[in-house]
Amino acid sequence: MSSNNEGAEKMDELLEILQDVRDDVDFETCETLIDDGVLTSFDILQIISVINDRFDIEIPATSITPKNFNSMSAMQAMIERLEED
Amino acid sequence: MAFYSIAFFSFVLFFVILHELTGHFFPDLQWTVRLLAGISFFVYVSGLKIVFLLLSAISIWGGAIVISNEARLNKEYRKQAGLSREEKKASKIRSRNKKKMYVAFVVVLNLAFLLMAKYILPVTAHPVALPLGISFYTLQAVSYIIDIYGEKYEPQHNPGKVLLFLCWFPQMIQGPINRYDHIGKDLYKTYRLSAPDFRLAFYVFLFGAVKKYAIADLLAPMVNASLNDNASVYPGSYLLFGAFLYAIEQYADFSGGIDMAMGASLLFGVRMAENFRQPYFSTSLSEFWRRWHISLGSWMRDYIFYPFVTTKPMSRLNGAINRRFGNHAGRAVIGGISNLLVFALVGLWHGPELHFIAWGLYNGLIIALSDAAAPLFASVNRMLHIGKNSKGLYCFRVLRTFMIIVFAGYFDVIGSVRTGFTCFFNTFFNFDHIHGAKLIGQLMSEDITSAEAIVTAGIAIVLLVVNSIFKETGHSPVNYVCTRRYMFRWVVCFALMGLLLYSFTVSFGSRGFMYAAF
Repeated sequence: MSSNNEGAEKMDELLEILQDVRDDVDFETCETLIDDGVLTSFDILQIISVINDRFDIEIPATSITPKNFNSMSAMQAMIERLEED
Repeated sequence: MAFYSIAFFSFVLFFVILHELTGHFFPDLQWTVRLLAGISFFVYVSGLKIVFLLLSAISIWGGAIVISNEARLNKEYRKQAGLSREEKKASKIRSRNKKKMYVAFVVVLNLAFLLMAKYILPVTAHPVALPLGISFYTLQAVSYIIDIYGEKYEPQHNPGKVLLFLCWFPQMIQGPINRYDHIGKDLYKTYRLSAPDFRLAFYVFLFGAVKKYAIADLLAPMVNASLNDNASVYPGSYLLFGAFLYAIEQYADFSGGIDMAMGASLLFGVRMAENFRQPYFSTSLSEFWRRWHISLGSWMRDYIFYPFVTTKPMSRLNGAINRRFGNHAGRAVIGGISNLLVFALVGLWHGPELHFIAWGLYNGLIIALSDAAAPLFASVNRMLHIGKNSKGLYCFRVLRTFMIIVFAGYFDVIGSVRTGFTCFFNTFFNFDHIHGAKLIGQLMSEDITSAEAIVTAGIAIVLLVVNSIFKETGHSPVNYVCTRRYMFRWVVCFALMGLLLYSFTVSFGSRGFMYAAF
């Protein structure tokens, strides 16, 4: 139960980060953020920098793939994987 | 080997037949026909310089296997019972450092081949032709080895298949820069050419040929007559005319050539990476670079931009700027610097000449500044009550982006940076449309072009614009033609062939592809 709460909190925090980068994108529903070119490389740059800072992880360049950044849940999953390492 | 030469058609015909026969009798060996086609094409054009290609292929084939073995062994070691968390972490770091060393070695080796072939040999010896496609296949080789390092996919154990990935013949002339995970499936599969597939390949090739021969080759003499080493004495109106035609020529030449290569590749069932998406409809220069030479842009993004911005010093600097000046500041500074680096490299990749680097920096600087100024533009729009979806704003942006690209032509075509700047100056401060009109008129009287050539190119440009508008609104004209009844198809085929053949008769001599020189 507590891990669920933790997950939800993290999701909220991530959403806040993303909306700060781009307030014109519906991050909660969009699943083609990269495939449809919604996010630019400058957006990604800002996103990874803030995520690295807030979650105390290091997203390596090799993890910047459409699979990891196409949706908010994909980013969340990537963050969790990197936190475990 | 030119795309419309007898040699090329015979080459493709021979290998399509061999490919089909092998597909029928020895389907598992069909990929070796593609490999044979790639090697023959290379040797036909570049002879013994195939050594460069072979060394690249061997280095990434071996390097990939070594790197993935290292990763596997390390994972197995860390799974052992009884290891502490610290021990696991230390072994992971050791393994990562080893992998980094291997990948760096292979990348440096491949870049050394490229540097030697492209920048050192031509200066020291007599002018030597580059090994065919080296600028393109080297980037493919680097992307493969870095992807293996990042564990994006499993390495290819068959060296012949790795070689095929590098030397697939349609990509050798001027790209696109294919990725292993995208093209690999098609390169190694069994494939039989069907009538609809043949039709698609044919029309893709034909559309491309019209762009190349009825537009680019007919405009080229006029561009060369204006944007040349004497350009500094011309009035701005004449230069702008030349730069405008150059923007059309460049797109028609490059995307036409890519279409022809795609068409040839489709005959073997291999779909190559998309390289253009109606770039002149872009609303910003950065969008343009996501729609023009897409395979180069995405390569630069994945293998230069992201690795550079995620280096420790860059991410530390980014964090520091963010904390001090807000989250948009870091991105503007770090993104801007990295972008300049990328575009300087893109310029350098085109050639070791100062004007290419100036052209790259011009692009990089505009993109960096426009991202930094984005919040400002947004607030100006809000103040003027201009909505995000305003049609007027869209048209203004498309036109503005197109003009930025037109001006870039001054640095791209003209061999001297100084002359490029003079052209820029003249465009704004010495327009002189009367003198310009006179010079344009002279193009015909001096036999640089003819009325027939201009009309033919004009018709083809109208077709290209209509085609692009359809594509931009989500339609596919080529698919449309291919799925009509055969009367309709034949009419289109004869019309385009007619236009093409007529353009040969009015052409003032064809040249190779602009991008083939890179």
